[in-house]
Amino acid sequence: MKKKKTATLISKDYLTIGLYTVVGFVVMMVLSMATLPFMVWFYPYATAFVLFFTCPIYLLMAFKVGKKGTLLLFGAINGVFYAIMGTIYILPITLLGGFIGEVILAKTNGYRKLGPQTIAFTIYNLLYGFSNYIILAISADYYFKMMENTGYTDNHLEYLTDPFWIMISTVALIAAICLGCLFGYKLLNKHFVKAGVIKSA
Amino acid sequence: MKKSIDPRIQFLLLIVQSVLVLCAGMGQLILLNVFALFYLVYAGLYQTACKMGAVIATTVALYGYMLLSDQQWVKFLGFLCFLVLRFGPVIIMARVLQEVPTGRLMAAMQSLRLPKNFILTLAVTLRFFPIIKMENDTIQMSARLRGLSYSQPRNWLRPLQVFEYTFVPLMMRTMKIADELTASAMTKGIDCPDQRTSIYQTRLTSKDLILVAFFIGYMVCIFTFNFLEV
Amino acid sequence: MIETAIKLANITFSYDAEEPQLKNLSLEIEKGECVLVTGASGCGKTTLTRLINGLIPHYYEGELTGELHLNGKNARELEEWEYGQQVGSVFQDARSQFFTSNVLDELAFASENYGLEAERINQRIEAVMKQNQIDYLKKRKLAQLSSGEKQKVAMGAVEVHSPEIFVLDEPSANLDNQGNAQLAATVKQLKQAGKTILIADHRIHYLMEVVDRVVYLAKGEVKAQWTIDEFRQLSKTALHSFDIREKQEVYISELLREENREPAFLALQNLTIGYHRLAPSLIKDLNLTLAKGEIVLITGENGLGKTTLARTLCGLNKEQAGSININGQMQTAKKRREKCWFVLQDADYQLFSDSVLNELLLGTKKTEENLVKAERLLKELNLWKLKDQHPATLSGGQKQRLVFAVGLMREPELLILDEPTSGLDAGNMRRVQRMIVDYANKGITFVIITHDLEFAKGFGRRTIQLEKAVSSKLQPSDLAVFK
Repeated sequence: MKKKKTATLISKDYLTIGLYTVVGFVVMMVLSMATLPFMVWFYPYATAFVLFFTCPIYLLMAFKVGKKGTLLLFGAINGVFYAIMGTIYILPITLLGGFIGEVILAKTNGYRKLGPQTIAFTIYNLLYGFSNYIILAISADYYFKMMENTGYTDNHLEYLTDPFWIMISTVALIAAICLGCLFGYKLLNKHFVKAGVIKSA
Repeated sequence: MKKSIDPRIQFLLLIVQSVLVLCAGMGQLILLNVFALFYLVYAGLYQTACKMGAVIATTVALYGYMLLSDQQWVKFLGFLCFLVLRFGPVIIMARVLQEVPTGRLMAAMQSLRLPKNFILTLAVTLRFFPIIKMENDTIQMSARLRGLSYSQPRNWLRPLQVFEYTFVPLMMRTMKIADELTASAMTKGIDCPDQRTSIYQTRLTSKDLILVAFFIGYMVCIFTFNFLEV
Repeated sequence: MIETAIKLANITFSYDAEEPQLKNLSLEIEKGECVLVTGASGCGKTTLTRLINGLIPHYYEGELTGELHLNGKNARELEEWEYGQQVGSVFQDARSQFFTSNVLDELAFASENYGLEAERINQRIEAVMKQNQIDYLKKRKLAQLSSGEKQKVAMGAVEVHSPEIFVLDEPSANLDNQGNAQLAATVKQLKQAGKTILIADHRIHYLMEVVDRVVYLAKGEVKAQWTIDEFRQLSKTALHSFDIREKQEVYISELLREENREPAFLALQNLTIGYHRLAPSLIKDLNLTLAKGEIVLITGENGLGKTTLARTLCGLNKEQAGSININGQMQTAKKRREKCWFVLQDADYQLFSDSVLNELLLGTKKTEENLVKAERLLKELNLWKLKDQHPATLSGGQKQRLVFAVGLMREPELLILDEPTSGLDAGNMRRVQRMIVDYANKGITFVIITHDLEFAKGFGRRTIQLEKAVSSKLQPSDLAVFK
């Protein structure tokens, strides 16, 4: 007797997504810390750089599970982690990003296709990466306003709020995700499909 | 018997704290950190309270120094102090949350009517963090012997390759662990459609409510009266 | 009333589109019986356990024909989660069996899933803890336990919701001798409580006083069965022909012996090691000399510092005090890294490339010379046919040989092996022994960490037992080097 394959997430999938999300989160945190010293000059590209490396992890997870709800759950778990770390406002953003991504994936049935997954993940990250950016900008802005009272100004402020730089940042983000997904896809084929743990991409 | 605060209350306080730190001025930030230290002591984490107390005291001292000085780089130091104080309360409260036994956490989430699978996933992922570190350490051991590790500077010129060498074995291991865990879960009845019970009760005790009241009172005070003009 | 707990009739099963793992297998196990299922790797033991606990067909898919009855009920009528109520499973790796962070929650986990009332669960937990003498672990976190204690908790967790049937898949794989003894005692208790127990394992000596019957599988069929008395009568040669490991426990005292001193190749002088520079020392003032091409086996309980010693020898850790000399010259950690290689218990941690051949060439220059060397090594170790396959597709034994080959590419002078035989059947164990002896004769010095004393015995070489060497442990004593 053969068991029916369902199109909804089962407990096996939940655990898989959970574990991979954790790995992705840890990688993201570690890389963010590593780029911290460079933040001052590097800021528009820092988030993009970090997100590049989370793409292969996400892609592997998405292809392994291949079902509706993966991205949403990914976003939910990430959001909860951020909430625990004290930035609860990221949770609704990741949920929203995940939701929109899911809609795209559902329309194109692209759970195991590179193109739709890249687009979905890009949108998710645009929303998420952006919010990260903004939050740091807000807190830095606040601090520096405070500091103005004590006579200290900083021209780095421009980086954070100038629309030109924001645009650069966005472009960098999109480029990073697309390249990241491509990189991830190549890795997937080179190793995981070849080893038979992922059904062909 | 350590007083354990209901995880839902902990979570609630954590969230409120994280919003409050955004609106707090420097003086209020310091007081928020003081509350966090008290919270640590209340939760029974005396050692951590001492350590964090030392960190906060140093930071405040540095900040005080910065205010008096006129040098540019010291001002930058002030920004770092600010960051520490801003994240301090939240990190501390998250640390207390870490001590909550998994079963209790799950019971609390069940009472919030979250979907069962989501609860389980969250519980397992929280448990998985230290495991990843151990797995990665083992992988890096072999990688270092062969000169493939990211901890060796000459590999920084080839970031993509280095990533591959960490990523592939780590993912293979994660896959294996995920498979084994889910198989094990299946044999333990994870798919049972009945309502999940728990050995923990999920009542809010009066102690919890007192804590919340104290919290609210404290916050209202420090925000309406500026105790510390810093 | 039918007293048969497990009944398999004409079961044939194959994983998706592969060779049948079980061929027309029929087996009956009575209620209260304790059966050991053993055989060479790939014989179908694990597949059998999966059938009984429901992982086949609900988790692992494939073609299944035949009938399975559990406690009289046809398994086809069982939902996947219903299996767990009748059959409790314990696996080899405690790490991937635990869902919670502490002992109490873990014990309650399965019962909570099935919706038992809290009071009942608490009662059961109390009873089980008393029975298995794990009361003292009540408040602990799982991460702090030794592997033996973890296995006890895993068993306890199954006992709390008390199914009638217990299935254990290679439970002794990660345990030392003490752990094995504890495991055997627990199984005995379960038997006395009237449970039906099926154990699939390679190691059998620790079960000799516990099981009622031994079933031998080969290529998916039941080749032989013995009652425990019959089994005890079997001669050594008979066991050999079946590729079954020894019935007798090998005692450490049999292995510790005199050796003639030859000129020292590797000398450890007053070596003190720990996890890192500032951590408390695990091993103090170790003095040891090894000759070139010598094979030394190190054994001892888990947690004493065997792995740390291996890492330090390899150059992955710096020594805290003392020195490590090769041919009279002191070696820094960096130099040691170039001359040593370390083969871990689980090869998955050490494979990075996308094909067997590439794995050997990884990290080296792709010169003609290296290619030739790689080819030679692969042929020697019987891996040449697999040269284009992805390492992840190899069997456990093949992966191990591959990691070995990777090491040999570097022409190391010292090779350290960590538990090379856990989970191997007798035939493969002997193959590993031969491989090591071959290369030792070519001049490579081996340090092997193992608690597989049967394996150690097969070499007839020097064995060292690490005693508790740090004051933070219960009994203070020095490193015991028996000569």
